[in-house]
Amino acid sequence: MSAYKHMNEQWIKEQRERSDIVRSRLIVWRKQGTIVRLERPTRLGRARALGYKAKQGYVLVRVKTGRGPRERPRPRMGRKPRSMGVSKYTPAKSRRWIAEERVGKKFPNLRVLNSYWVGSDHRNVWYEVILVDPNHPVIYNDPEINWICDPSHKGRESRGLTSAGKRSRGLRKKGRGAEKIRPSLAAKGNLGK
Amino acid sequence: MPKPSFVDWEPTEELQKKALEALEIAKDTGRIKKGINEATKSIERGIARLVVIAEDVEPPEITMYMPGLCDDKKAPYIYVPNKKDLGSAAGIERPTAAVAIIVEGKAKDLVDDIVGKIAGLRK
Repeated sequence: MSAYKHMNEQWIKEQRERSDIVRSRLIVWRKQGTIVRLERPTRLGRARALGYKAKQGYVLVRVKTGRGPRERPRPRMGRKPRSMGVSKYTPAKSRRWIAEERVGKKFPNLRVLNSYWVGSDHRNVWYEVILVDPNHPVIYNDPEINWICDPSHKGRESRGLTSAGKRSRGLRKKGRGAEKIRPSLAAKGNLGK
Repeated sequence: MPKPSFVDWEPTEELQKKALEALEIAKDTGRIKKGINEATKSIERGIARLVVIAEDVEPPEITMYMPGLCDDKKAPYIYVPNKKDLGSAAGIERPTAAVAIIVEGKAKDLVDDIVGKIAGLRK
């Protein structure tokens, strides 16, 4: 077993126990901003499994999102009672996907590769997002990652092409029960979810 | 600096210096494995004679599993305070989290001495 697997197991164990390390980390994170750029990943094993490499052109960002269902803006003009609702609306996107989108908006020249959970408390969830710079020579000369330099990968996070997006779109399901999911939810009249 | 919670026994400063010294000799005359991934693999294969781990690794989960793994595989380990010193002792320009000595070379007596003292300290 490589060192990274041990690290991942250790990480999950610490989270389960909610040890001092985990809690002291959250104390710092709560006071920081929503989007924080990082030098090194907090979960090295997980980040590497998702494609992170400690080389030029890779950028890591930690992003904070709220928890719980979305509150809709209250309608200003008259509506039918059934469309007056404000609370109890769950977004069809996961918090992780929303976090990726916010990071993608903040760093428009970078491409979102993937993301992973790094911690949560009662009101926030933190994710780390791996970004790649498609204009960096180290990236476009590396055959393992230069697929992301293709313009077809612009705005991956906004179109649900990252792992979080695919999962939210139901694309992990196959066969019976998944008839209304492919090729896309909209193509089947948004009946799939 | 207070010791991290996962350092369950404290080596003396002298012993830490000796470990780094042994590492430098083993680097030239024996064989060492640099970096946490290589060190872990050598522990699991049972060929690590002495494992030197840095204390100031951030985040600490990276090295936290090492003592347990070393005890399982009966490999002696020792913590040193600085990852930069560990890197320079292992002959690389970058800091490193862990190094394993697998062939002692001329440092055989020194390593045996350190291993004996570690066993004495942990009793």
